[in-house]
Amino acid sequence: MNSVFDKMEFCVEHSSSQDERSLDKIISCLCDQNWRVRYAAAIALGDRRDPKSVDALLKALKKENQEPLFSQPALEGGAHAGSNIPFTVIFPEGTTEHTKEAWRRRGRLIQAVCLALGGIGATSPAVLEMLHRYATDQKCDYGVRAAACKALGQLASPESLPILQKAVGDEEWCTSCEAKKALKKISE
Amino acid sequence: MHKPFYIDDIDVLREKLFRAKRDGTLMGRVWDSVIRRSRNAPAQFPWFTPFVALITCEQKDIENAKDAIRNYVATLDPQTFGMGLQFHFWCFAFPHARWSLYFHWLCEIGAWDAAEEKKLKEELLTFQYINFFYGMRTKPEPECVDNQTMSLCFSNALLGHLFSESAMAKRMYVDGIRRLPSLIGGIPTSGYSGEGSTYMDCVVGPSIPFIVELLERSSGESWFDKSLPPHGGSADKVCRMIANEWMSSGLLLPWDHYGYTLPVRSCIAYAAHRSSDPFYGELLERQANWSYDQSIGWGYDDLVWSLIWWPENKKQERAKFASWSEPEVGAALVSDDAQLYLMQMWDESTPVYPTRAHVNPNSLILSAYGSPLTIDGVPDKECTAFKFEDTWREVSYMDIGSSRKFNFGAGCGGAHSVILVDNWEGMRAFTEYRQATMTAFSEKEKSVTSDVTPIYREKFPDAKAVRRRSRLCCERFWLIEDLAVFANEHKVTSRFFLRPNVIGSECGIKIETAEGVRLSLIPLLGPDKMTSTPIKGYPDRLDGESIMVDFTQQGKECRWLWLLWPEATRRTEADVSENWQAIPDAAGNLVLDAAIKLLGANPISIPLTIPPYLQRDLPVVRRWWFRRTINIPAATSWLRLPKQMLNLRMWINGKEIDTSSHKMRMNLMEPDISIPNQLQGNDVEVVLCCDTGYSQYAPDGNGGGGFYGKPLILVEEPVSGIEYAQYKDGAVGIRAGGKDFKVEHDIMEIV
Repeated sequence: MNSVFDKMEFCVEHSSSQDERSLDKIISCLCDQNWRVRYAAAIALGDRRDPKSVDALLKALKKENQEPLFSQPALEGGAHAGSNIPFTVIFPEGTTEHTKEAWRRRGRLIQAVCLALGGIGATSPAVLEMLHRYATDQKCDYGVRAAACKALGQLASPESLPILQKAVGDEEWCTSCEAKKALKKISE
Repeated sequence: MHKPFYIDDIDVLREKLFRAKRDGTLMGRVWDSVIRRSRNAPAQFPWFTPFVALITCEQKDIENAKDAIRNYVATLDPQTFGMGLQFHFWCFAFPHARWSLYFHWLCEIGAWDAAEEKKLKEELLTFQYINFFYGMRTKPEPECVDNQTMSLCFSNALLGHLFSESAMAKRMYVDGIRRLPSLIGGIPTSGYSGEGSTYMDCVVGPSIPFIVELLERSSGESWFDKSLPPHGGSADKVCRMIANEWMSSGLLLPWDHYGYTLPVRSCIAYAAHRSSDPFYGELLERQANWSYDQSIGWGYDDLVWSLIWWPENKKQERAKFASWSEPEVGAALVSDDAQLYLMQMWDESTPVYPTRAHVNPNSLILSAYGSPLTIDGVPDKECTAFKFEDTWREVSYMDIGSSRKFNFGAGCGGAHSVILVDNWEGMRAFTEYRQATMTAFSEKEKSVTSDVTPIYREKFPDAKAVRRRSRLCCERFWLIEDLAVFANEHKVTSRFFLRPNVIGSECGIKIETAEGVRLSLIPLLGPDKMTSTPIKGYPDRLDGESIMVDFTQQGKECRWLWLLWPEATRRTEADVSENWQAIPDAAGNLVLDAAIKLLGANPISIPLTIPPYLQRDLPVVRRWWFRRTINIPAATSWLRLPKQMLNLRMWINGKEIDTSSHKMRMNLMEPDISIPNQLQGNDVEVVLCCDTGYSQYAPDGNGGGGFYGKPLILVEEPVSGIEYAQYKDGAVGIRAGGKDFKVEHDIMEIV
């Protein structure tokens, strides 16, 4: 299991397993150098719904918060959706591969972790704090905000009411919709 | 045995196409044109290459297809840094699904070596998982029902199915396939998704065959005509609506966002394959044009899927364009000869920000004698109209690192042919409620009435009734009745957006379109106090401008009864489509004299109906020259040319004719080029130089869409106009051209 693809496959393949060994392995994948593997691991942990993975997921989020995920300027170079015409993107001088990887993933890993935390359903102050932050953070892509609101609905903690009431007013439809649903779940 | 997904029996498909080509049927000619483009210009028509490879299994075709897929995979990483993929991921998901499908087809015919097959498969799957699985999980389930979610869910389900040996694929499949039925069922029973003809026809419609066939292959059940929860939508109703959007003028309804567009065909071919309704076959075999390719689901394979679904053995019985109604969204009244067409719409608009589903309560679309008379759509970037004070919005979720401020006024009531109250042009809904009710429709009487009071009452609580009734009378003209009743006095405006140009009239307003069709709009009841304002840049297509006409009255009970009288001022004198000499101008730098020499030396003789390279094995180049001698009648005459002859230049007897005024319009309409009067009664030499679509992606390639149409000589047809028209004693009386018309008309009651 050396390639990125193989590691991703492993995570997904064991997303419904119950054994500790594969859980440990997936949690270790959450620290993999390649974010694609971390992304697959986060989804797999969400599918497993094992509260033992919450700390690792939170740790992954904290690490992700240090990354320049949403710092990409608009770049020259692009093509029509679906096009097969080769093109190149011109990066600002000095852009490192580390930064490029952050720009490639933007909010993908955060979304996967938020949804995993919601799926696991283990409410804790640390989890809520993180999700509350993402739910209304306009610096994040809407894929993150919507996922955080959805997760808060799954956790259904009354503490989330003020933040979700604010998120209902999000200018982006998916986020607003998930916030409305979450509010409804909390009030049920 | 080859098992390319979606194709039940590859040998049967091959035989169908072979027979079609051998017999010279329309299907055969389309197939022939696809092979030509795929073989003669594979880099310019990459979307055709996998299908051609699959059918022919010839090595050169297979290599072309492999190159197309390799090139696509090479774009994946650069795409990641684009605003498009990051914020509009659905536009990339749908084509990614089909490129992956085509990769699978080539796997099925053993095109790849094992190492390359593994590498490409992993890249396609990984890209899907990190981008479109992510994208799908962003869209709320089950609330989000639109073309975007459809594209995302379908792509996940399809890749999941195709590569089911992969755990990631299985995972994507589970979430994707689960959501697909409710995406069809979430469309209202009208079949209209509310996103306008462009999205309906270019994304929702084309996705239907893919989704239905995937569901059927997965479950073994029939899904085509199954009404599904939550709203009872079904695939066959979507197909029916796609067919209904096809106006008898050959354009799609300019419904909601974007405006008039050209029809796509693959969904119609699929409906013809699945349904016994002969109207689909009529559209396919007699109404559709096949020289252009239209982007479906952000990819250029409409022709490929049309050929796959196109039924071979259907009886070619004729079917008429007919009137239709869908109580949730609108109705169309069509004359028996399909020359007169009216559509009245009342589909729900999106509350607060009506960007896609516009505010169009009882707006009208009219066309006559092949010419659209009214407009709808969106303004171009330079247009200064519709920037109402209360319709600005700023969003930051659509771009990288910046916010976008825009005015959505073009989606509001003021940009449509509707009733406006107290000059509120930014008219829109603010909450969810049923905005309209169709109160009457008669296919036999060709009449429709819809009540749209709720959307007025939200802002004006004293609104008692706002209704419009449309009638197609005597197969010759329309009567439109407007009623607006309030408890208190209001200023009520009946607004129409007509095509240019205004010509003189004693009452109401009269226009004559570029195709020589006139429309008189005359109030038989209600004041004739009117303003007309040219709106440059609205719509962004067709003429690139319109006439906004406002009739106004003040009162508690405001009523108009309109007579709309169309007249064709030109008739066909001769078909001059055959025997044009043609030469390619590969470098695009020939001048007239040189072109004429070449045309005289070794020309190709073709009908000027579609580009020469679609008819024969000729170079697929952008620029072409054509020449023919034409007899000009001894009357005011026009030469009608095909649509989409880009950058057209024309010389008659060596003198250049200015065609610039037709430039934008001929993307959608065949241009009528006026012949100078001094040439009447003479044989003349006509030389044309034009560009045509030659590439699916080159900036000047027109998406690969070639010109199409039938060159005709038209002559002036005298028209007399209306001698008198009045409403008296419950009847409309009209005299025109020596004929009298009398129509009973009971005005709408205030209930």
